[in-house]
Parts: sequence; structure tokens; C-alpha cells
Amino acid sequence: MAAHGTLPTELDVRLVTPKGVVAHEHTDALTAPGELGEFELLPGHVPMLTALKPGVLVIGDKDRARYAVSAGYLRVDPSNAIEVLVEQAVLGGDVNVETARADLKAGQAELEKWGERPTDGDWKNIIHRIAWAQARIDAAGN
Amino acid sequence: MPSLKAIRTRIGSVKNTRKITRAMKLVSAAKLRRAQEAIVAARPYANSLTQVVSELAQVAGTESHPLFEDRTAKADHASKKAAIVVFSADRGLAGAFNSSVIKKVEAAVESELAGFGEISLRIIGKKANGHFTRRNANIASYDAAPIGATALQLARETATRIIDDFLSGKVDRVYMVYNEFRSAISQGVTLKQVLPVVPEAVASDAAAGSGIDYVYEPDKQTLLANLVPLYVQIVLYRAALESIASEFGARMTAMENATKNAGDMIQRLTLQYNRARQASITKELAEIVGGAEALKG
Repeated sequence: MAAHGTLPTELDVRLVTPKGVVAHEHTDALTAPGELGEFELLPGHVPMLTALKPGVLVIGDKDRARYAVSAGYLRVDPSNAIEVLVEQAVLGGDVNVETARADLKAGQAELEKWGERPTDGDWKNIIHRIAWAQARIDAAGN
Repeated sequence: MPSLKAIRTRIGSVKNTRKITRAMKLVSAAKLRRAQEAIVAARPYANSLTQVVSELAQVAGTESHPLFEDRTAKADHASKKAAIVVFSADRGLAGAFNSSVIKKVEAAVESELAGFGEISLRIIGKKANGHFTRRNANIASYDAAPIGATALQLARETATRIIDDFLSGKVDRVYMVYNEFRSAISQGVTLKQVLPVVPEAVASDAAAGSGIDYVYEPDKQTLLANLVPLYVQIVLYRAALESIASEFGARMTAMENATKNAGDMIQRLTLQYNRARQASITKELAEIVGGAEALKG
């Protein structure tokens, strides 16, 4: 943590999922898939709470780690610690692209089959599966 | 009195059973440990999310999101609808694990939820499904019991379904029944309300923390709309994990008892076997003595 009066020069990022704390890193920048679009975060940000949608989270500017993340939030504490809380997260390098592609295809096929029926919870689940598959594919490719 | 050979075969089969129950106990113990680790791993996520949702609910007000709204007060008696998410297992041999869940659901329908005109079930696990299908209960969905790796997805999809039912007015209240994990030897069935969400009271130090001016992006309402479903998911996820851990705990206890009983039975049978053997030796001796006496005469 930076001393009072000076601007912090690094970000203290914690990536938390229901399976545990996935990453805890000190880094210089963070790019996240916000609900309103992708944004980059630099040290010294004002306290903020923002919603995330499925996409690619990049920790670091020079030393980059790409994660596929699903819905969640990002919170910048007054102490400048950053908590990224997402329901699922996987490192881009650990993505099984073939499974992700298969999931994407299966999801799209199901969506097509759905046709004109009124949308309900099951429909939203299909949409989520597609978004999560796409996020994993995006995170795996550079 | 069974023959010597019959007793010997019986002892052999009980010994085999004991081997199986002992192995099942060891397997359950190992799986229980992993299930407990999953519960611990979910804690930071659950705590953070709970705190953020509570804080948001406090600053935005509980009327700010439809999932907080309790409609049961307004609706008239007969039109009130409830759903119960039932967590059971796919397999038995776990003591009263499944039957106590089923009993709790049936008891709740009779008492706590008697005020609802219609009650539907969202069942997880083969055992409860079999029971309620045979009784023609109103089953809205059925999923196989989760293992550690599939619990999160099951929780997400179940959450999405019940939230959609709730928002579209198909149900006015959603409960869940699951085996709460207290310790490896103690589990208890509980009935909990899932929807509408009752935000936990923010702890006093957290309340002081919420005095900070956060920049909310998008606005608080949209944030709540994004985060409350995640909160419902984690509630179900924790219940699923506790149910898994309870199942292994219950199976471990059941198998330990079975192993002990098999041991007792082996001891009893061995005693019986020895007595029968001695009886036959005594009989043979008596015959020999009797024969010798007869020759003397």
C-alpha cells in the first residue's frame, strides 16, 4: 500500500472465484470486461464497484496473464486493493480450446432448436454457456 | 443347527461384506476431506459477495431489486405458489441421508408451507426423484446429484431457473431443503428460504466501511441486477457442497457401523462354528467309546 500523499504505483489484484483465490498479484495494469465495455485500470484509481460480464481479463501490462472470466464484479478499495470476484475464471493457457469450441457449437445448436418459444431460465442458461465458451476461446488466443 | 460347512460359507460371505463396507468407509473418508476443502475454498468468494450485496442493498434500498420483494403478503391464500429445491443423493447406503431429506420436504409441505396453494419441486439427486415421481408430486425439474466438479454449474443453472420463475410470477417463494454439514458425524436437514433474498445485516465495521463513496458503474440498480443472481447461485452452491459433504459423512458413519456389525456377526458365527465342531467331535468320541465297550462285552 502506498504511503499517504503519494500515488500508489502498483495494483494489488486478487482474483476470487467459488473454487478459491485463483490469483493474487502485484501488477501495473489491469484490463477487464466491464458491463459497459472493456476498460483498463491503472494504479491510483478512485474507489469503484463495477459489474463484469463474461470475457477476457488481462492482469498486467508488460507481464500479461490472460484469464477467461464469467460474470462478477470488480471492486477498487479505498486502500487501492482490487478485488475481482467472478463466478468462473481460467487461465488462458489452461483452456481446452477443443472443449470450448464443442461447448460453443452445442450451445448454438440448442439455441437454434429453441426457435420462437418464449425465453425462460433454461434459455438464459444456454446463453450463458455460449458466452462462457466464447470467453474461453478468446482468452486462449492471443 | 446348520451344518459345519454352511456356517463356514456364511462366515466367508460376511467377511467379504466386511471388506466391502470397510473399503467404502475409507473411500467416503477421502471424499469427505475433499468436499470439506471445497467448502472452505468457497468461503472468501461467498463472504465478499455477501458483503457487497448487503452493502448495495443498504445504499440502494431493498425495494431496488425485484428479487428482494416479498409478494406473499399481498397475494391471497390459494394463489400463492412456492417451489422447493431438494438436495438428495444418487446413491443410498448413507444411513438416513436421503430419507431424512424426503421426510423434511413432506413435513414442510404439511406445516410450514401449508399456506401455499401450489408447491412445485426442483429435485436434485436420483433418490428423491424416485420417491416423488412414484407419488406423482409436482416436479418442475430433475438433475442428477452433483459431484464437486459439477456443483457450480448445477447451482448456476438452478439459480437461473428459479430466478426466472420468480420474476415471471410462476412462484412467489423458493425454499431449499438440504443436509447441513455440521461435522463428519453430525448432519442435520434444514429448510431455508432462497427467494425472495433476505440481505444479511451488514456488520457494524462493514457499515462504517460503506461510508466510502464508491463510484458505481453502471448504477446501483444494474449492479444489483447483476450481483443478486450470483448471490443466489452461491447460496445454492454452498448448499450443494454441504449436501455432498454430508452424504460422505453419513456414508462413512453408516459403513463404520456396518463394518462393526459384520465383525460382531463373524465372532458369533465363529463361536457357533466351534461349538458345532466340538459337538461333532464329542459325538464321534462317544461313538468310538460306545463301540469299544460293545466289543469288550
